[in-house]
Amino acid sequence: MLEVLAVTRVVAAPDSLDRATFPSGSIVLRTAPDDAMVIGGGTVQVDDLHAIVREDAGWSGVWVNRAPSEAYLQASCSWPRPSVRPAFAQGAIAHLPVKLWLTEERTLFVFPTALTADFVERTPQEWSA
Amino acid sequence: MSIRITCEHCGTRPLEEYVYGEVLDVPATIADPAERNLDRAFNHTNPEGPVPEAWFHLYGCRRWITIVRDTATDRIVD
Amino acid sequence: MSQMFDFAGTDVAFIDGDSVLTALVRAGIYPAGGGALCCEGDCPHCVATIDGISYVRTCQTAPHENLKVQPHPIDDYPPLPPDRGYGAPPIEYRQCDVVVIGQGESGREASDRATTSGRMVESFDANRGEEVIGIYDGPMVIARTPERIIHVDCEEIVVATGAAELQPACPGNDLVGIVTGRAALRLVAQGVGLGVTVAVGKPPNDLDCEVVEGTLVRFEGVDGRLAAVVTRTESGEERTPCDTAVLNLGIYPRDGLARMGNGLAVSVVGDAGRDATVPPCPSEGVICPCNNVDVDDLQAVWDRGFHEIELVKRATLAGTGTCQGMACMPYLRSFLADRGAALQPPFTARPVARQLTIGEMSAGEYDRPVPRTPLHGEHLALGATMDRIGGWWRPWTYGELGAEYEAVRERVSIGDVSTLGKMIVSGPDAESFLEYIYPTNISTIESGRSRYVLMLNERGYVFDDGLVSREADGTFSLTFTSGGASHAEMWMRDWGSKYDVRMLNQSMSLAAINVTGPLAKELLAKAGVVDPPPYMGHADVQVAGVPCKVFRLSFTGELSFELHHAIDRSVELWRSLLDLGGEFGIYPHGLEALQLLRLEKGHILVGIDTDFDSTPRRIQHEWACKIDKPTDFLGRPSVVRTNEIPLDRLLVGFRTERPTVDGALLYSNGEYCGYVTSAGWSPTLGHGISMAWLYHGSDGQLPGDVEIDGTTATRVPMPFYDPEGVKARA
Ligand SMILES: [Zn+2]
Repeated sequence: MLEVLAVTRVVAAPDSLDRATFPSGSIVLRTAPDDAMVIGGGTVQVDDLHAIVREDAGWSGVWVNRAPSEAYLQASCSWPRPSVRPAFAQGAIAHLPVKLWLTEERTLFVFPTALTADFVERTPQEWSA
Repeated sequence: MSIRITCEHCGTRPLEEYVYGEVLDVPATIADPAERNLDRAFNHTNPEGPVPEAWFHLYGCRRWITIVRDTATDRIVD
Repeated sequence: MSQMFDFAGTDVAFIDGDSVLTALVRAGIYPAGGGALCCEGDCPHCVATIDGISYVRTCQTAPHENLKVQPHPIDDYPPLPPDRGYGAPPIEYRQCDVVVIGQGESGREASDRATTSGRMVESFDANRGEEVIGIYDGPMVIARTPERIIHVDCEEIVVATGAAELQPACPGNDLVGIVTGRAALRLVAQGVGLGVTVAVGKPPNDLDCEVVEGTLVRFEGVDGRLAAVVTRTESGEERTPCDTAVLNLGIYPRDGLARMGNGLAVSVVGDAGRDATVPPCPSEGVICPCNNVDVDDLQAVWDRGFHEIELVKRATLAGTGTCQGMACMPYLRSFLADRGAALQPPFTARPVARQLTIGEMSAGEYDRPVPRTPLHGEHLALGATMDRIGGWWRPWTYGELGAEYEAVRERVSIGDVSTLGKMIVSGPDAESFLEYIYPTNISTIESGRSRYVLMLNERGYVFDDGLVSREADGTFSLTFTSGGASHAEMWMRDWGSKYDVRMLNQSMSLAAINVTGPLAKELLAKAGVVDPPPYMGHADVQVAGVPCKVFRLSFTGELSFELHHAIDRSVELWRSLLDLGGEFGIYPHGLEALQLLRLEKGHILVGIDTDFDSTPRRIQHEWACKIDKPTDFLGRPSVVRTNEIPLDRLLVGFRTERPTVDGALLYSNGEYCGYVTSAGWSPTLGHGISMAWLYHGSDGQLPGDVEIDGTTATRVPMPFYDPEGVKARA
């Protein structure tokens, strides 16, 4: 089911971000060396005085079982996904900027909420039901 | 066409994910930052062969990366 | 009970193993009206319109009940598919090490070799309904199956497409009843009777036919059907009557795909890589059956000086048709070798190798995504006309432009400005970085205050504008224009790489509602904001229970507050403001009203009123470019330099008594002197207002009054409305 994700964005010096502690149970997507997207809420501890830590309401996501997600990606994603799970990957999927969190059983598709209409139009109906 | 560019953060992705920046061809002999800016803005060498280029990974990390593209063949060589 | 498909209204029976072509030939039908059939997808003689799609090779198409086949018109282009029902087929993306094209003997060997050495192999074979339509840089192979389009990214490509049999180039080669040797075998295997059969050249094994001696001179026919083959032997011409002529004129490599891969890791194996020996130069007859080019045509362009194969191709169109040179290439080359005494290499091959529908071409393509603000549904519910502006869906008008304008000027209104670019900058170098990026003093912005900023490039030209605000925690909040936000982020990340800064793009995470009008303060008071920030100040406050960063600024010219907040609270805030504003006569405003409101104030829209070489001086914004500020800034050397050149044009305001339009031209004494960038009719002032580029005349002077659309336009200072800015600061 499509949902707005509870995201905390942490922008910090890369080495500080390497050392940061994230809430247990959260999913941490390292979208860039100095940028982490923490899904699931909780407090992030980072030792960079100048870190930008902000709640970010701008992201939505949908969990999809592994088999249907792989079938979909085969037809909508022109770049190879990581062969080992769990893994993070980001890039164009159906020409949308999407972030993937791939676990053994499921795949989380993360995208800007502002693009929800486009995402719904370009993914199987049952994902947004 | 399927030009693929490797982003050091995200991996190899199709050209469509990137925004072209520029050829990084300001000569190292120009030291003054303001002079470097002017050279960057006004002097274009349009080289043939392998040149470093800046590309922005719009669909992934949204960061600038540097690649080396051979302008004669359009191949990414580094 | 045999199965049937439809050919031009006639039922045609087919049996197992038939292609559409073999079934048609069995019924005595030649879909293209004649020509030497190859039955292998090389020639253009079997193409027809199948189920509305033209240029389909019937020899490569399996028949089924309900299939509808139409011959192409003889003297016209075949029809395009109907408008609907031919969308993009599904696409599949694959990755492998080696793609092998063709699975004949050499292709299978190549596949086995690669597999054995541990490489991942994808193979395609036209005989399995998999047509490779192109080899692209990457390298990448695109193939078509009846179900889908397949893109394969690979390291290496092996072309094993074999060789085609030569087409005849002589008079009569368009008659019905001519087949290649392999075509004859396929037809016979499907039980198609060939009648009295003669073979020119060595016949295929086991084919029951008479072999004629000598070289082929022409085919003779009656009513479009083959009647006899004429050959030349040492004793003269010999005429052999027959129903079917089976040809063995030699073979020629199918190297189109191999040549497409020029410069890529492409190898060629088997017959596709064999030496392309050309046949003797033909003396007459059609050599390009697709575009009906004959030897006389070649001679004519040769006589005009077209001697290169690429030029001959362009001058005659030989090789540009359905078969992309499979039929004519050997003869083009032998003709040019004969006339010029040198054998030229084949002309360049490019994708696509097969006719594709626009639907197939568009497989895997999407429109550029257009983001929506969280208030999209609210706008629709209010009857807004939405449009794509600056890369977003935005409300253009709610249907009542007058009411929208009036609400802002006289009461209170709200507008959705969520599309603004928004960014946080932090870090030890944040201030010095922004001092360098912006031509405005940044260090003097106090905590809780904001400043209007231009963005200049190295050339000193304005490419964006926005606001810089200093936060209590020492970070900075920036805004950019809606359409320029993505570029602005790239700009900041590029120049920021030399500084110790952190940046977070919040453009799609924060929404923003502009509360504007003389009663804006009263509305905010009702929403619980008792002490709103002063002009060009900002504060974190709750508005109707929603945490907001409230900026006080003005784009409309009235008292305005911009409420930035998390997008998941936006609908709630919007509805509360409309509810609370009921007693003040609130009405929302769309972009059309906003453009008029800001034009009255003389506020520029970057990219609409400015172009790519707008300096601060040219747009009368030198007040926002502090050339003498203590630190260097981006674009300063160029601004200093261009300021030394005499001013050549200026962005100015005009008053007209009749409405003008964007783009209208300016004339001074009959001489062109500029154009309107934004035009509108001011309801408050009761006259037309325009912002326009005005060029200096040949006397070096800026014209005063000009003519726009045949009406006199008086140059007036901007802003047109409330020039002292009393209302915005109220
Ligand atoms: Zn990247």
